[in-house]
Amino acid sequence: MSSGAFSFSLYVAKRVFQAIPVILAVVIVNFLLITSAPGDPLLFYVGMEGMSTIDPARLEILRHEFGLDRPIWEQLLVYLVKIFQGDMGFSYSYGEPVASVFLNHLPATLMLMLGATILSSVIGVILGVMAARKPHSIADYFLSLVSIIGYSMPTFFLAQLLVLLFAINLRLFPVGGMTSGHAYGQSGVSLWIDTLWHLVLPMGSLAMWQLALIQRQTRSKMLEILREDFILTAWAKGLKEKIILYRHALRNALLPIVTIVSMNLGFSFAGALMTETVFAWPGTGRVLYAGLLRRDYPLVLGLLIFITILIVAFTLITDVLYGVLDPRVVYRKEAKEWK
Amino acid sequence: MEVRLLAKRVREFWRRFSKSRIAVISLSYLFFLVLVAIFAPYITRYAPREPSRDVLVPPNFQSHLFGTDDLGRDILSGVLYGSRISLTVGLAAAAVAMVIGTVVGAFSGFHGGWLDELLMRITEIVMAIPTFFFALAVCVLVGPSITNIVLIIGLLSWPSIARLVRAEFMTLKGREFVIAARAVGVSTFSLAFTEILPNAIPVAVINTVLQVTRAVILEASLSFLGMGDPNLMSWGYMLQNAQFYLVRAWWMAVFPGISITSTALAFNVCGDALNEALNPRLREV
Repeated sequence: MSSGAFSFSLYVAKRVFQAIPVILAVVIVNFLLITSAPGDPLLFYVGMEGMSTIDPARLEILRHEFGLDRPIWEQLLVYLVKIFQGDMGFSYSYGEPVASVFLNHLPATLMLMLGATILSSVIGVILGVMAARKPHSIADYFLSLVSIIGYSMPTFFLAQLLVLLFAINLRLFPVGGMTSGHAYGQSGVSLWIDTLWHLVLPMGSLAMWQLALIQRQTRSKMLEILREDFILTAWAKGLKEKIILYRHALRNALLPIVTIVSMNLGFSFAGALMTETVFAWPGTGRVLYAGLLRRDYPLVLGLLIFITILIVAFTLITDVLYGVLDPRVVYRKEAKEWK
Repeated sequence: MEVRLLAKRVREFWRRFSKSRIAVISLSYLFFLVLVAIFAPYITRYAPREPSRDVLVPPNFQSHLFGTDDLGRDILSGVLYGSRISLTVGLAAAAVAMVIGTVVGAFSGFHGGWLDELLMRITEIVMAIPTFFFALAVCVLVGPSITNIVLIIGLLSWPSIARLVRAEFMTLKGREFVIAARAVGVSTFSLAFTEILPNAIPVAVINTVLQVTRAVILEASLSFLGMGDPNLMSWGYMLQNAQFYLVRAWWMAVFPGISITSTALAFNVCGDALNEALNPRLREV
């Protein structure tokens, strides 16, 4: 099937081209929004007191140095070119390039998100299959109730509840942070264990929403698939229930679940920010929040663009992977019509 | 004739919807919440933002049922007044999303061709914008007012509704009753609005209810980060405040948190039940 391979690469190319205007639009809208906001960015560079004592001529020099005196479209153009070169600007408040601030704090966020995603995927799928096995049974109702509550609870409230219960009352886990004070300067295994110990509660609160989402999706997809003919055939062949559930049905249900997870990546990134705030977890979300409060425009803009690119890229990858993994997907134009 | 048909449809819908007891309970809870929001000043004698000398009082039956916060403000009255913010933002933002989504979806699906291509590209772009982060930036830069929050959530939440309505229009415009109407000489405009739109509304409504939950949680999240309307008492703000007193005053977090969760839960349950009652795909099976 050489034509199939051709249309596949065409499809990938098309999707990549579609992603470019998305990123461009976000960059431009963000830029216009941020530059049109009230408040002088220099105020946050020199400080409130500095603003009243500084020589106005010196202020003009600074304005010129940062390019803030140029027309807005010129600033935008410069910004776009710089981004294209991989330069996201310089953070006033951190005193280092935005890219390095982002990269310094990304591992903490990724650790949190990756851990939560693995946890929620595994448990969510298992609970979803369990619920779909006997629909409308007591177990199903119980699981559905628990997952809809988990789905409705804001991440930060769950985080606070976990702190109240497990950190303050039972004293099982730390209230926040990434490492304990006494672990400072340590390395190796003990540092890892200490970090993991700090990770439990944030990871749990971040995982809950996704877990509930995955449980619900798995259940409804499984119910759809278990009605199909090939499942009846499998039963007729005398296969065991476990094999039918996990080998035959789940394999077909898994792909749509992957899509749901990737579609909600923006939402779980937002959840990570809330979790990081409650637990003082030193990730990108917390940096973004700090940047917003300090009106560190380049930092905020840069982080928003980084996060958007990350989300768009990830959605793109799952979209393409979807096609690789599911042979039923056809990459021709007609596919859209009957879909 | 028309009225009787409508009445019959409504009865049929209610029969399906009320099959789920938990959905009926949720709906009653939401009605209750609306009443609470309207009559808050008559239920409590404390003003929600009024400080007092009774600081960090635990919940008790004599003076403060839900206790007080670090400034001596009554938690119960904060919870009661806070329902106004959550309901207003949730319903208004979802309404904005529903109007835009339905109009875009209708034009896209009915007209097809270049207009469809154009609108769908725009829809994809809006869909890819991370709503929460964008809203956060807007609130800090333009100022956090309830109007801004409603607008930004509404303006970014319509794509999923537009896609569903579009799909509905595309399938419906080829159906016999539409072709028949066209043959009789019904104008294109009234064809779209009187023949197809009523049939596409259920899909839009189901998704809109889910958007209400999202908006409620988004607003609470923004307020939690200190980016809510500073002049109003909201559940998210109460939780932000509670963050500093978790060790000493659990009640500051628990009551507003339960309020957000139960409201979102009620909307989600109603959304699920609506889906089961209205979704034509589930009905035909």
